[in-house]
Amino acid sequence: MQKFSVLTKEQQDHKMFFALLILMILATLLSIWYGRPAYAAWFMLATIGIAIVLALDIDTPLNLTF
Amino acid sequence: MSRLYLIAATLNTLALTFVLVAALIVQFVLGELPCPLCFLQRIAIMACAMGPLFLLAQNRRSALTHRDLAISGGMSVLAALVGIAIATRQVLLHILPGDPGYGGTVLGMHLYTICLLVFIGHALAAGLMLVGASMTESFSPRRWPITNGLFFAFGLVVIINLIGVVMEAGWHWMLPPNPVSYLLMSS
Repeated sequence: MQKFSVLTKEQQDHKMFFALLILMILATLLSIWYGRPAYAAWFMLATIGIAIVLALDIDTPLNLTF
Repeated sequence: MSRLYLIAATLNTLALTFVLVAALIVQFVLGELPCPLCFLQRIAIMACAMGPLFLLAQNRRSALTHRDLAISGGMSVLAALVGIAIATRQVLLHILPGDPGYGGTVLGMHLYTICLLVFIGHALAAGLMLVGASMTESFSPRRWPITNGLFFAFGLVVIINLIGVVMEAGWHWMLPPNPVSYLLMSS
């Protein structure tokens, strides 16, 4: 199935932050519900966390020279 | 104008909840285990819903303000951008000719392709709502009883996803790229 994929199986592995990220989303949801200003911090933590997990997954070198 | 925004936020949340429920059906009913990138897209969809849910929650306390619209729109756009990056990443992984892609298809599209369209649609909707804020000076307070139900339903879906991810990954640090079993049960 991965015959034409650029990455190997090992390279595609993720760090397991998913449960933590979902907990951050839950914290955001609860903060929004109760009107606590902490919602902004939880939301940014979750968003940055998602971006970090995605960045950790990208091992393909970017050819940014033009 | 308040009513229009509340309807938009409600529909937005319902659409995102529907996508998450559909993903859970694919996982638990059809038995197709989500890959790590699929899970990441689900979490981004959850983050996307924080924008419209924020608007609905603020309306419970007082009349909406332009500040509320700005915060809601900002959260929506940020989450949608992250989601677009993840979905594009997965589309590009399977873009080469002959690659069958990951998992089954719905309406002829893989789930990550549908996710990409959902994220783009969400960003567009948030943009429209932000621009639309210029059409009114102030908002009137309005009762919106569906808010509690929406929060409860969405929270439930998030918790089910949390259980799902723990079941699939077990207590392992790494999740296989092509999961074939629930590691919590098999280890």
